[in-house]
Amino acid sequence: MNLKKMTTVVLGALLSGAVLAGCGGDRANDLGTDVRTKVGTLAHLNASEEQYNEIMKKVDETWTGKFSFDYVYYDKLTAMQMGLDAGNIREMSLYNSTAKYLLDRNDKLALVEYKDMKLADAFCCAVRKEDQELLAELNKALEEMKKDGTMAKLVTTYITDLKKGEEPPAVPMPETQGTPLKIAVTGDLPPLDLVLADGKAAGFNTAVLAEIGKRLGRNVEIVQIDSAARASALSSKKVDVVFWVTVPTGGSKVPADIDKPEGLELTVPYYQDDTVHVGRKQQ
Amino acid sequence: MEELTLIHRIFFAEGAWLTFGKGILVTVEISLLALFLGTLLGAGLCFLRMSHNPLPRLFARGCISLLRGSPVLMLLMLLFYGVLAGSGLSPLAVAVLAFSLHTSAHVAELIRGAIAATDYGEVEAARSLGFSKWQAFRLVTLPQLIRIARPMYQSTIVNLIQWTSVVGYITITDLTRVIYNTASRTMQPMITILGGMVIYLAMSYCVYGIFAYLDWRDKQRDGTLGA
Repeated sequence: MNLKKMTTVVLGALLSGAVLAGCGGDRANDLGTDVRTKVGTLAHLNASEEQYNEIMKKVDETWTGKFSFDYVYYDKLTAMQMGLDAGNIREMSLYNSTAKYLLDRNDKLALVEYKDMKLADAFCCAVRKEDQELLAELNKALEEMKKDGTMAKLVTTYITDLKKGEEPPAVPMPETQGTPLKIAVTGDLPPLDLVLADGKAAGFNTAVLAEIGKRLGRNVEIVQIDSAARASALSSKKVDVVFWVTVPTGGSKVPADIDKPEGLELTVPYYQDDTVHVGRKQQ
Repeated sequence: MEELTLIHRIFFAEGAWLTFGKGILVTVEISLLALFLGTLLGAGLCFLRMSHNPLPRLFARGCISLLRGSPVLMLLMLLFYGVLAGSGLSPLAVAVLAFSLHTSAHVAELIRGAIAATDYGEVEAARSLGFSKWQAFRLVTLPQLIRIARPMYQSTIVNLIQWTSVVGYITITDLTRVIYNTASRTMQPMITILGGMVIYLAMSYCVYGIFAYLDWRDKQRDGTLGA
């Protein structure tokens, strides 16, 4: 018998079946009434998915609304967005500012409102543990910026004042003679961290570090890096500062240092943003 | 029309085309340098691998299986953030080194396979006619080897171009990084990644084109010889 031909036909049928089945998306959610919602979220570098699931379960229980989430982890915003388009997830968990930036550019998506859902993250810088001097300098600069209103001004310029479809302005970098301060940005979290069309890093985070450089009298050198390689770059001294996200202390169910790796020290938070959910618009 | 405006906005507007061009240049630069060094290293490894002395043979075998069996991203991270972290080498140099090593293992096996496919009897015949060892290799084995290895070498080059897409992990902004940055900035992942694919495809077709030309030229030459 022609075994080769038969195998080819069977394999072909299996493959096309798999492709067709894959195109269905998760229809189950459209039919059921009390189904768990699949939510995409950006993976945290240091907390394992199991740890994170455990914590999110506790958080979910505190909400009065009747909803429950299953989390799917993505390491890139781009991948998560495509997951939503393909129907792999129903909602994306994003920062408020990033969600607004996205909704301004995509009218097929909308915020999904949940009552009582309040989950915030605080933005800070991370340095190596042995760099205590740098840590103190950064903390001092950040506290001063908060006190004299510079931080608030940066927030309005680079986040809240952005008009629909407008990209954040380029960040003027200070030109000083001081020792260079190497800072890693990822370009994967607009409008906080993005790379403009001309290839230059911009956004709120970059503006904050430009201001820090000015205050410390140090020459800021920006290095673009893949998000997942931030901790490696820091610990191997390829960069001096990376951006990190923590959970604000006080009243939260999530331990603040959930995502903090060993050998890393965090500065005071300089910005706080709520987490919101974005899904496809209901037809 | 709307799609055209979108494509223009993503890939061309406000100097975006220049950024894409720079990304392409970085990818091509790493690929070409790694290909050149990797081929030289690979030839050397193959020489050791086929040596009659068991010591270099074992060494080459170990190198090849280690390099071929490990993901190139791990090798890249290990070199940049570990072994060569304090060496002061630029990220580009480390990337070229990592990809050269990885390519060399593939090239070594490719050459070994091609040599095995040539007829050893011809070398013996050449030797009995008074050719030196080197002459026999250069005039009898090498021309055949090049022709046999060519299709495999072509796919190695195309693979290499695609492997370089992970250099974003060691602070290099190559074509892939530019694509991801643009996708995040414009929030248009689908069309940006599709465009990026077209660019990578175009690069691969350039490689195919060069090899198709070489094949065509050989055929022409054979034709004139035959006539």
